[in-house]
Amino acid sequence: MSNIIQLLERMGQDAALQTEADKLQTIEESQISAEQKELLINRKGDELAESLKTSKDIICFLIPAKDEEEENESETNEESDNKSVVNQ
Amino acid sequence: MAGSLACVGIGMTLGAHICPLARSYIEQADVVFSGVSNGIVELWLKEMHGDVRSLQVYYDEGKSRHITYREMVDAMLTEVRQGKKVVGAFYGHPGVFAQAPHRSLELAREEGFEAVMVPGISAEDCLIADLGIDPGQFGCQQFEASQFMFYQRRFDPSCYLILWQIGLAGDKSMARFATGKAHRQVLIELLAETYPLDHQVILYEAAVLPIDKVRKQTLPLRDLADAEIFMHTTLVIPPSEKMRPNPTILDKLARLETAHQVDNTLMPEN
Repeated sequence: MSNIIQLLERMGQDAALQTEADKLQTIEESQISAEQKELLINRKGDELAESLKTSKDIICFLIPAKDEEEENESETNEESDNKSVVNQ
Repeated sequence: MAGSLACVGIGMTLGAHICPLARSYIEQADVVFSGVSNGIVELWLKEMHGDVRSLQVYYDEGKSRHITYREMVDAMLTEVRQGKKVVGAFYGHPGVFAQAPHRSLELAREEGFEAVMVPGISAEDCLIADLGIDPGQFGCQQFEASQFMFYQRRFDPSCYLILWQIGLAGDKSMARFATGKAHRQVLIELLAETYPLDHQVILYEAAVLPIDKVRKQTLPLRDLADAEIFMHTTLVIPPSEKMRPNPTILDKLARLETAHQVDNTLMPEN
C-alpha cells in the first residue's frame, strides 16, 4: 500500500490519532514527501488528489430506489421527476 | 449458478467506517466497481483490489442520470453473467437513496445469481454523531431536496427536517451537477411558508478524508441562497415549534386505561 494511502487509512481507523495534535504529529513523522505533508496539514484534499493524479471532481449523485410503478413510468419518461440523493 | 453480486458500503470517511465483511467481499472479489465520492477513496479501494473499475465514467454533464444509473447496472451485471464474483463498493450505505445498487441486486436475483447488500455507515449516521442530534427526541423527516420541492410533502416543523442534495435543489433536468441561488431561493420561499426566515438552519458536510473538517455552519434560513453549497452539502432544519399533544388520541388511551382498570377490579381473585 502506498505510504500516503496507508497513512490516511491509519488516521481514519486509529483511535489514538483522532485529535488534531496527534494527527499533526503522525503526519510530520510519516514517510511521505514534504509536499504531501503540507497538503495534509493544510487540509488541501483537492490538491492532494491532483498530486496523486486522481480526480478531485467525483460526481456522487445516486437516485432513490423506486417502486415498481415509478420504475415503469421512468422507462417511458426519461425526465421523470423522481430523482436523486447524494451523500447517503 | 456461478457469478454473484455484493453491493457493499464503505462508509463516509476513508479508513474509518468500512466493516470487516465489506472489506472481505472487496478483497475476495474478481472485479470491484467503485461508486465513491472522492478520487483518493478510489485509490484506497485500488490498494485493496487489483481490478477496481470506477463507475464515474458513466456520469457526464448534460447526460440524464437515468441513463447513467442504467449503464452502471449493466456494467456490473455483465460481469456477474460471465460467472464472476462482482462487488459494487459504494460510499456511505449502498442501499440508502441509491438506485443502482438496489436495481443491480434485484436483477441479479431475478436471474438466479447470489446477491447481497452489506450496509455501511451513511451520511445520516455521521450527521447524527457530528451534530449531536437524536432523531428520537423530536422525530426526524428527510427528503431529497428536489423531490421535496416538486411534490406537496407533509412535513412537521416540530421535528428535525433533513434535505439532502441541496446543491441540486430544483433540478428538473436530471442532467446537471448543480443548481444555483435562484433555485435555492424557491426552496427558501417554500420553507418560509412554515419556518420564520430568521430560523437557524445548519449546513452539514461529513468528513470524507480523515484530514477533512466536518462542516456544521449555522445560518438564518433567509441566508441560504447566498451560502456556499457543494454537491455533498446537506441542509438540517431543527424544529421551530413545540410538539403539540393530540387530545383525541390521549382521550381514547385514557378511556382504554380506565376500562382496563375496571376489568382488573372485576376479575375474581384466585
